[in-house]
Amino acid sequence: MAAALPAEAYVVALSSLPGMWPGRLAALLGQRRAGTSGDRGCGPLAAADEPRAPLRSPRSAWTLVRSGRADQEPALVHLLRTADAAREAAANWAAAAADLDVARLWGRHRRAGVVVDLLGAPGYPARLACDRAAPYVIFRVGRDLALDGPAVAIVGTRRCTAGGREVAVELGRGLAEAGARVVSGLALGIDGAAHQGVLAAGRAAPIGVVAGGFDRPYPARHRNLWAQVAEAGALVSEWPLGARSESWRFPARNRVIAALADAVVVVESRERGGSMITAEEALARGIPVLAVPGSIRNPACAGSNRLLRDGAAPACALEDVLAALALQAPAGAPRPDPRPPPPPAAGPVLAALGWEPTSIDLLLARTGLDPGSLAVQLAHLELDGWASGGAGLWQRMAAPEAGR
Amino acid sequence: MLFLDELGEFPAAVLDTLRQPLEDGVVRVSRARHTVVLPARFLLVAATNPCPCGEGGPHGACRCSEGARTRYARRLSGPLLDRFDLRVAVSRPDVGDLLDAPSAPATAVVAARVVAARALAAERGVRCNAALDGSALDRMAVLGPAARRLAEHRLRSGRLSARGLHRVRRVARTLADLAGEGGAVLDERHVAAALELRADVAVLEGAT
Repeated sequence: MAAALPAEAYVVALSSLPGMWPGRLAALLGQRRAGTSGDRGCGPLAAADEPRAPLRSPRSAWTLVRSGRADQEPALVHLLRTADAAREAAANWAAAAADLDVARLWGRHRRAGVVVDLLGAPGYPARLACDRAAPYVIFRVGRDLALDGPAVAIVGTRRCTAGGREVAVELGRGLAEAGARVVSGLALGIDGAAHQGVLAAGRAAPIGVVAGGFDRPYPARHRNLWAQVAEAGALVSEWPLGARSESWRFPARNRVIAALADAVVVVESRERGGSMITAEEALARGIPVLAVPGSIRNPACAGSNRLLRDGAAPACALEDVLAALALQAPAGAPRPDPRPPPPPAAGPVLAALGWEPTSIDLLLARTGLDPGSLAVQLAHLELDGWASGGAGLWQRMAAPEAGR
Repeated sequence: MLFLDELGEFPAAVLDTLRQPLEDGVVRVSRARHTVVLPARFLLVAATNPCPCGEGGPHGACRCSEGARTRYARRLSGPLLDRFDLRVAVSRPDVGDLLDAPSAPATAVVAARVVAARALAAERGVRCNAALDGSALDRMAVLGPAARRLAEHRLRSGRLSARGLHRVRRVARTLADLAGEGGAVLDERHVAAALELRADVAVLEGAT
């Protein structure tokens, strides 16, 4: 008979069950919750009316679920609104639990080096412990989350402009060099770019908060980025190995990003999107939100511009974010530009290039060059890092691009 | 000539059937015990939006979900798009700049250039430069050191495949012919222009 498994093993097993939202897990474990965006019907004001269940050990909770009696927990019934819904959930969970080998799953996590911290345990991130919607369990690979310095979240839309991406990389790099730990979601677009900047700086450790298991990098394109962030810093999740980053997990993940940060910077966001949720979660916690102003014509900035209108501080330069964190820019001479100066012949082309993506047609009209000569100038500018282009759109580069 | 509008709306299986005629210039139809080989040498022209709603691209007015964009982009498979010699990105022009631009030359003028270029190709023993194979390219579409540097940068960054490089050289060869330059060594200008005419396909998936 195997040695008795620790409480963490049972929590891991419970969180592997399908549809085990953070609020439901907490209901089974007997903790009154203020609610998260992943659960409806529980808000801070509703707390007084919620039936308060006695604290239940994870092992007993597992036994309860496994035997199909999860609907005997009143807090769960309250969460799911009707007895029928609770009964259905209980039956589904019992069926899934029957196929689950708790010891084997726990072993997998141990071998993969995944640290599992339960709310209330000494290793649990202090910053999250006092949060009103603290996750019951935090999975981590990489370094400790003990934040030896301020943390700043950089978030934004997946479908960002090339300019927004560049800003995210620069902010990530500048903040890391100043000693701030950058928190982000490892999504496409702004999130990934921010962490690429952090990795390029090679200083303060990044924190990636993800919406699934560490063995399922999402998106697939960011597989390497996940590994690099885990290596240089830490990956954090509310979910065990094997969990897919399904869309319902993202709002919950966004609250963890906000909770870990001392300030949140939204680089580019559409009218609605995950980064707007992160901003809301930050505001609800009294965490300052900054936004990078964007072109009023660009739908990719509509949300971030609205935050500015509603009172978020503008982030027009690294210094603005550093000021919000009460950090100084690192002293010393500014990093010299490693790029060779552009040749005089390229002058008109550089002048015709904008900081937003500019089409070839426009460049031809503005410079009056023939296509061949223009193409050569652009190609040389790209080789030396002064411009970047693809698919007929070109733009100036403010700084040599990290990692290209 | 075959013009396919809204390339992304064709089922992937249908687009797949184009590969053989594009490669071999023939279509093989098999029925019962007979196989008929039909000539299918054609110029393929296609048009597509970057995403289903048509607003996609880096300026970001796209309303599509990520799943819809990926599915759409997946239909235009890598191998199919790689077979296009020219991939031109067309964006919404800024009206002011276009109105001030110099006007384009007349068709007759361009036609004369095409005839002259075809003559240069004929001197090489081919109907048109698309027929030049690898060894012919090595003799008659040589990359000078500056041009080679450009090509190497693209190859190394993964934006150009080996097969893609062959196509770029053929296009550059044609651009040189159109400019009246028949010499074996390709000028950097033509190679740069040919590279520019071969747009990055990744942008279809929304990677900026």
